[in-house]
Amino acid sequence: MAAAAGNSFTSPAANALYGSGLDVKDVGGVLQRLFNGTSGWTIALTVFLMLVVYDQILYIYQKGSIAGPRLKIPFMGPFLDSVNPKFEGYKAKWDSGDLSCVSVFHKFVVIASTRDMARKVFNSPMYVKPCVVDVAQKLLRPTNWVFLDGKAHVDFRKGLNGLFTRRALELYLPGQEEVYDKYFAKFLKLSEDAGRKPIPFMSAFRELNCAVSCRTFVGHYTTDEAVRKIANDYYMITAALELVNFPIIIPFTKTWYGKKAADMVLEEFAKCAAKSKVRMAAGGDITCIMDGWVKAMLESQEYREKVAKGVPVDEANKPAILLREFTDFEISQTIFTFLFASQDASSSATTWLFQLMADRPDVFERVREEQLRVRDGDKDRKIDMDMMDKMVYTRAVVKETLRYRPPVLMVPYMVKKEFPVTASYTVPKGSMVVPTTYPALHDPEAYPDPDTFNPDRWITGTAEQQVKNWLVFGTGPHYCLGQTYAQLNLMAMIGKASLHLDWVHHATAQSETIKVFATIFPQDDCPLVFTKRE
Amino acid sequence: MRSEVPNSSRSMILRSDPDVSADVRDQRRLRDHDADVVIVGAGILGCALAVALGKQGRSVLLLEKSLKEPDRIVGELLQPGGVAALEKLGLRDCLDDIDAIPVYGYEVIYYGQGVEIPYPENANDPNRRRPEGRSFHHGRFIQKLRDAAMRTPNVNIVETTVTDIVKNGWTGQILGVQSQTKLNSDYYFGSLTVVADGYSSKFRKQYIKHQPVSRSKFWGLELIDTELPRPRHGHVVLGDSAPVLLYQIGTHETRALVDVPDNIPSASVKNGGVKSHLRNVVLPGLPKSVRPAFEAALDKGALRSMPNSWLPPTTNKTPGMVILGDAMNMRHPLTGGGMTVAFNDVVLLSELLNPEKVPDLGDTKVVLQQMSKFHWQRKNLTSVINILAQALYSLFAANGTDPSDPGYTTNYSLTLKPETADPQLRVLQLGCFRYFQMGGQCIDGPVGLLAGIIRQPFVLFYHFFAVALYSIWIMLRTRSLLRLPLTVVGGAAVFWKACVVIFPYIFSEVKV
Repeated sequence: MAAAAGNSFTSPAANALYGSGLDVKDVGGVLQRLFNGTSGWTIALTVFLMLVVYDQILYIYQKGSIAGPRLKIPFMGPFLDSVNPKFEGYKAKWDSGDLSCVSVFHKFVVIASTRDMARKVFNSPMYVKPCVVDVAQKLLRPTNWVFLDGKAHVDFRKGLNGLFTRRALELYLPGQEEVYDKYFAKFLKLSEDAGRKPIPFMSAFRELNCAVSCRTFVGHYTTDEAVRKIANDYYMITAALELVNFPIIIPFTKTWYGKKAADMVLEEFAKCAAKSKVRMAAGGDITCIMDGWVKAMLESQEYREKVAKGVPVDEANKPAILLREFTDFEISQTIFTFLFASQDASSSATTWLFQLMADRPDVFERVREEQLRVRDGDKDRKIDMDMMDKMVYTRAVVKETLRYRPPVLMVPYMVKKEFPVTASYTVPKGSMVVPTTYPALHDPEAYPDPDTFNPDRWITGTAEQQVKNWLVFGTGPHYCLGQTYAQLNLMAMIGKASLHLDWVHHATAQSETIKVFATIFPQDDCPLVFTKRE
Repeated sequence: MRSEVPNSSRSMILRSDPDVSADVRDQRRLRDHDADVVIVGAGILGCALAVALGKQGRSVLLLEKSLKEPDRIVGELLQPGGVAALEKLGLRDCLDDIDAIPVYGYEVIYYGQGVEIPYPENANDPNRRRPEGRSFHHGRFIQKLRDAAMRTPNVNIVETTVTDIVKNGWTGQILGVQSQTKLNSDYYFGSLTVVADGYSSKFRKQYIKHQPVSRSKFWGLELIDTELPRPRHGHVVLGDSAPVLLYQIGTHETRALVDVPDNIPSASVKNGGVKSHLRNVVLPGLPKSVRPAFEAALDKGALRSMPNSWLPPTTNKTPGMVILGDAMNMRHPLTGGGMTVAFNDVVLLSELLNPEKVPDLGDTKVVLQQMSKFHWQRKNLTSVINILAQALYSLFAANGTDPSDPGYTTNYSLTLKPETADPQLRVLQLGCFRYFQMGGQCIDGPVGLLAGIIRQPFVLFYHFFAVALYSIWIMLRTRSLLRLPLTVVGGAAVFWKACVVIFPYIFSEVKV
């Protein structure tokens, strides 16, 4: 195009001069005529229009037989909707068909809305690999394990499984309680400072969850101040998590702030990794997930050294999984994915949990009764795993909250090769395919009267048998590694809160309106008043 | 584009959070081995810095491999400029109850002839007190400083041997240290790690491009119940051999430090070693009153030595770590400037790292900016003391500085060629002594610089060249007119020598 534009400025005299000797005068004349009366602008416009047409034709071709707008807004598509996503918009999309599509900028997105269609995507690692969201590669780095595929992914994951066993999870409980205590005191103070008037607690719940996560993941290797900074800056990361972003990171936009915040967290966790390595090598006990992982690495290393030296090692002492040594940055990257996975989802669940319980005094009362019972009447008793096992009703409340208000509505995947998702439709390679969870979790066949919050469906009902519909934590090879931890955390937290705190929800007209902020929150950010329970 | 981030509800807790309580910080130090600052080495600088930062509310872990009272022959004389810094740090009382001896100035003895050089009145002191230094047993003073650190809130001293530095493998930031406590592996983490592990620093090599250069040693003896020609003054004895320092460190004890250049023939094994050098070469040159005790100490045998090192200062550029004290900068101990530099460094550094200026010591960018300021701001005092110590030693040792020595320019060091007394240096040495004999400004200036009272590098420059010109003048005056042309050439050589002595040290101070 630049060359064409350049031609149009060639002077006739110059053409004549250079052309005469070579006898190409006529050719010069043809070019002359072609560009006569045209300018760079008209050419640019023509090219632009051609690109618009190409963009539309490509969209229509990719869309094929599935539901979606007939044409797209040139280039950017419904980008502005994704900047400010609405739950109703998503819902309309799910209702429009089993498969529907949009195209934003360069990305063609197919949404799989029914349970079976969603499951098909979740369970097709041959054709799809996780991409989290569009910007995630930039925040988490392309080398991150969550983007691994096939055997590499399976192997990596095996190395992490040991961090989420029952025995491991029990080790994290004291740390979790320590954070609950601290934050419950803060909640009381916040309400006190607000003159016992309702204030939105959503961001306080986010901070609580960030602190619990950091405590569980990196223990005491970071300071409370650093945790608060992470919790605060994490807003930037969440804000950047749109389904599709502008293709490049532009300074001072959401993705730019998100990247900065992510880099800060990565640096903080890399520091923790270096410290954990030193402390574990010095024989320290495991106080967090990072410790557990580092210790497993050290044991593997010890084993390998022994084998290399020819020292006989009893097979019983061979580590279950032989890990290589991970660098501080690799450990940081991985731990960051845990925070990435937990922070928004747990904050969403926490917010709904506090709101739903406050609005249902009968549920609240039953949780409280059960919590006191499992502690044998001593409300200050420390939580252990056996106690968690006995929390039948509390568990039902947590599960019902997750079903009723599933934090993660959609789980984007990247199509790595032509994906014949149905007999009549093949998702093109390079597009994004997004299984959704909400429709399956509000499926009246699996969960009768699905829009009613009813914990008993998990005890006396049939909800527990609907494993195919339980997509809260995904399914397939990339299902949520921390799902047990996440549910235990919510149970322990709300259980403890019920014994030490009273809270009142000051419902507004927007309390039941769902706001999409990466995950979902009540539109009014959950106005509450906390008081101490004597 | 960020409009929907609900600013109103953001950082709600962040704002309402009270300051982190002292309990939490104590717990973090004791349970997690984690603090704002980890200081390696509870010596002169380490203790003082721990106190200064602890008082500012920083959480400090002070690590020391042995908390027993150290027994060393260094760090025994504190100049008035050091006493003043100690006072600023609120540590003046560390000089009490250790049988410390006040020092009012110097006595320089040149071939048996003495000149008194009292500390000048400090024009900046509103009380117009006569400046006083202090000399004492190093170990007793250290224990007082450690006690003070132990009593300071937010500070814990731990007996542990630091074995390695902990680094963030991704960013390279220093995060603390690994150590050995009794037989166990241990670790201490800090937002800032201060390495102050002394003259033979274990960690300097990895982070500083210069290494110390030493061309002579101080051999120390403890003289019992000896009488100095001028009590309560530091004595510098000059003569045919390298300088000897004498100062009282307790009611009954006096320290003798004898400079013995490396490879000097009279101290070679063939000639009976250092002991016979001290007996045959040094002893006869000492004041009569001192000789019996010196001889007695020699007979007793307990001889100890310390290398006299020169290490020009460098700017700390490693994120998360600063190297300070003798680990970062050393000068010849002839002028007794080391502790004065250390305490003044602590005063300056604690101002630069004040929580108002640096809220978070983990903010490596800000800390490194402050360390760059530190490097330049400390020069008013330290460049004076550094250059003065090295230049005076060159003069007093008068053993020749040979610019053709390949090690000379690269190390900024002295090349002592034993027994090749340099004639130009001899001229300068004599001129220097005669200059002192004039008294008044001619002693107030130099000793004011040495004492850490005058903090103007130019004053040093002025007096140094005044001495050089005066030396040449003496030479012109005392030599026969017939030899005038030769004398003029000789004068030029002396001036050239003066330049050769001082400029390398000046250059070393203007480097980053």
